[in-house]
Amino acid sequence: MNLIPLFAALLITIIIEFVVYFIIVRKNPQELLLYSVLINSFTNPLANIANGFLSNFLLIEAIVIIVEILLINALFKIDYKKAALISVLANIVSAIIPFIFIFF
Amino acid sequence: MKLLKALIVFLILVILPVINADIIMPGEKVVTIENKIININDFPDYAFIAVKSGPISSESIAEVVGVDGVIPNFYKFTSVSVYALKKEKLADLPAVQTPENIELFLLSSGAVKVISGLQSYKTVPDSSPQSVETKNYVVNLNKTINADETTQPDSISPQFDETLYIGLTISIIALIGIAFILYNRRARK
Repeated sequence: MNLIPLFAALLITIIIEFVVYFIIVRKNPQELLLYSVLINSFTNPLANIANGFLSNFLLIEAIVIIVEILLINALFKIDYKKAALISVLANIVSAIIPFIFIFF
Repeated sequence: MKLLKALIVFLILVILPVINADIIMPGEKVVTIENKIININDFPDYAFIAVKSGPISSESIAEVVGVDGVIPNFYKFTSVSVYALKKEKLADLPAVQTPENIELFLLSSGAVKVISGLQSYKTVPDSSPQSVETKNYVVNLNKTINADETTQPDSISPQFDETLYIGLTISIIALIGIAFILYNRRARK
């Protein structure tokens, strides 16, 4: 049982999404970090498990984005439009950044 | 604040090149696919043989599918086709196998291709708890299933290693944390 990839993926996703949250929301970083930990700890392991059943990255990401919109809306106390912007951006960045490092 | 930003940038720059984020990461692992004919007992007069195509190796080219219907796995990059032939023809299967004599054997024995393009492995992200995948096929002697293109297996059963439970536990704890925060907020109002 190799837990390193599971935790590494989670840790990096938490950090990347926290940075996106902070860039957009720009207040109370400790609280945003806590929210990033909670939101991604909920969605990331489930997304990896779902990948085994669906093998469809886009569908899984879409579901993750929708779930995160709801959670961001509830936790950040912001409207759905801004929650959607944060969720979409955070998930795009967390999906793209690793590729940038690999290809460049 | 500056220290926090510097720490984040440092972590991203140092850790990202060597580990994986999210589920799309190219840091992948191999998952074995167990392909299975689930209606093999519907054809008591027939034998099914798995024939590989792809890179030549020292492995045998054709192997008989067992009564459990499990199709033998070959080398990672090999595509496998399954043929049905009358059981009495099985004795003619060449002991020393080459692509040419297997092709000749299949032609002369009147073998029917029932599945083509089976893969024995797939890759998933390193962080995936999946370890094995079973694909079940219902075969028909009048039709070839193109496993690589058009036909989905009749069912897929992923199997997971122990990291599944750890992942689920993390998710549940996180959900409890979220619920706790939201409940506390409402209680304070």
